[in-house]
Amino acid sequence: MIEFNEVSKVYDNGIVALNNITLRIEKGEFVFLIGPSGAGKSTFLKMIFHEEKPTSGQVFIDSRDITALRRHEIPYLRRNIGVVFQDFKLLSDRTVGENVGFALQVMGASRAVINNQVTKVLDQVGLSTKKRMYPSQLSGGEKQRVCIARAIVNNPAILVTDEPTGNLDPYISWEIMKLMIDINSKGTSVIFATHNKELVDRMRKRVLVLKDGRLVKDEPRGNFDYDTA
Amino acid sequence: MHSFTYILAETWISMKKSATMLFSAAVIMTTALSLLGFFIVTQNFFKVVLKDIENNLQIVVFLEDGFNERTLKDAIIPSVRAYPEVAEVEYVNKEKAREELKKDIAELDEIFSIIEDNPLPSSLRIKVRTPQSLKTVAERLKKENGIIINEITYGGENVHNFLTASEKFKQFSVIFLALFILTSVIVTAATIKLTIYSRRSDIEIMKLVGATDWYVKWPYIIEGMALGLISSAFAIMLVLFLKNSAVLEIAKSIQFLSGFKSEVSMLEIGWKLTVVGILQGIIGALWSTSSILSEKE
Ligand SMILES: Nc1ncnc2c1ncn2[C@@H]1O[C@H](COP(=O)(O)OP(=O)(O)O)[C@@H](O)[C@H]1O
Ligand SMILES: [Mg+2]
Repeated sequence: MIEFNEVSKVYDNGIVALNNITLRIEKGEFVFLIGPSGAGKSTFLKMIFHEEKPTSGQVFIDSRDITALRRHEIPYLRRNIGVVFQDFKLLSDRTVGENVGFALQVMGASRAVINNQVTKVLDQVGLSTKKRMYPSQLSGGEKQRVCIARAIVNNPAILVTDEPTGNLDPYISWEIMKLMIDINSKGTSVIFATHNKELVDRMRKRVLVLKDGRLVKDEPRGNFDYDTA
Repeated sequence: MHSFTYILAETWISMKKSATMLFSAAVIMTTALSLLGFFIVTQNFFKVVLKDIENNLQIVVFLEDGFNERTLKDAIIPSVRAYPEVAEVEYVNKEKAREELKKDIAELDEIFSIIEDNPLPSSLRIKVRTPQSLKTVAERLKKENGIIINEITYGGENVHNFLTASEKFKQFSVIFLALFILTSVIVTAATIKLTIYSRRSDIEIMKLVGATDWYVKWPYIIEGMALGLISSAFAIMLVLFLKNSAVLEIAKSIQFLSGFKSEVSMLEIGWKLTVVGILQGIIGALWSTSSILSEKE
């Protein structure tokens, strides 16, 4: 369960990226986050995995105020949150298997555990045969699936994705979407920031609309529509 | 924990990426450590020479015949002994002087048996505590009443010059060394900083998936340590090579210094250079990692 309590974020340059946001996302929920460029979507997500700290207000995850976390506690928060970005962020000099296993490696898991988990999630994202390939040998959609595999390899409670289909064609985007639904159906909360109208309109899930840092709309079965807000 | 092997693997990946920079850092660090090695050798050499000099910080006062031995023993010697600079006073009468000489030079035995009279003067051998006090003590002795001094000898000027020279040399070397060591720490830090910079996206990913700061930092600290270790190994070889050849030849050719040998063992130089080398590496690494990894709260 994620809770924002009057969260505002003002960057050093004075830009107000988030303006007094209060909301609640239940455990296992699937939420779209939409809004024009610069509305504050990425900043919103960064609040959750503690890439940025709110200027005021609190963010709770499972009733724990993560804005009060000490620096050395942040890595442990992140091990429970998977993140996926538009630009993949894969290690180019490591294989698909190594990239996925990386998230377990930094936790100090044994090779056997890593091997098992990697095989399992690569299977889940449909990349079993590409384990020994390098990212440069993969298509965009495949790269994104590697990122998703990495994000879920340690069974996180929350999956945060920032425009994961931004670089992908509609068909591949839908494949990625199906993967997210699959992951969500296994109990992981998914927060999905996107510009992809088709996906949002087709899914009819909860939609949060941000505009100039404000939460202007929060609909349970919403559409991709931020102009009428 | 399995983390250790993962960290070593990360170190290797990182070092491969910055091989050229690491090489230049190693050259500079080797130079600094070699200088440190030579400094230890020369300082030790000076120490040996100085110890020898200090053991011989002696003033010899040759006395005119005909003094009152009682006065000498009861008044003068105790008074000289009371000088704060004086460590020891030994009275050598004519007889003892002859015995000593006979012992030193056996051939004189015959000559002495021919000569009835003993031509050797009585003397006082006075050991002083520091080379600087040789002159003061000599001056003060001249003013002592009750004895007539024929001659006073001591190795004053040479000792003094040597002391000043070695002190100057030491000060110069320390400054020079400090600069070199600082430079090599800075170069190490800069090298590692560049490695970190070239891997900044990797580091970003590490942190995103939940790596602790230490997990990210360790490879660079190990890198610094490895750099120090390799550099000190090279420096030790260099010092060993030069110590056994050129430098000592030069020292031997200076007559004053011949006969002295540096007592410092390679083992001592070895561990000192290794410790300093590794410390340089660690300090350089901590320096560079702290500024980069803590950019964000
Ligand atoms: N690190 C930053 N420093 C300063 N301004 C930022 C920073 N990150 C984002 N911003 C600004 O904050 C606003 C919201 O950005 P962002 O959260 O990236 O929006 P979105 O993801 O919806 O496009 C924008 O005006 C952006 O320029
Ligand atoms: Mg964004």
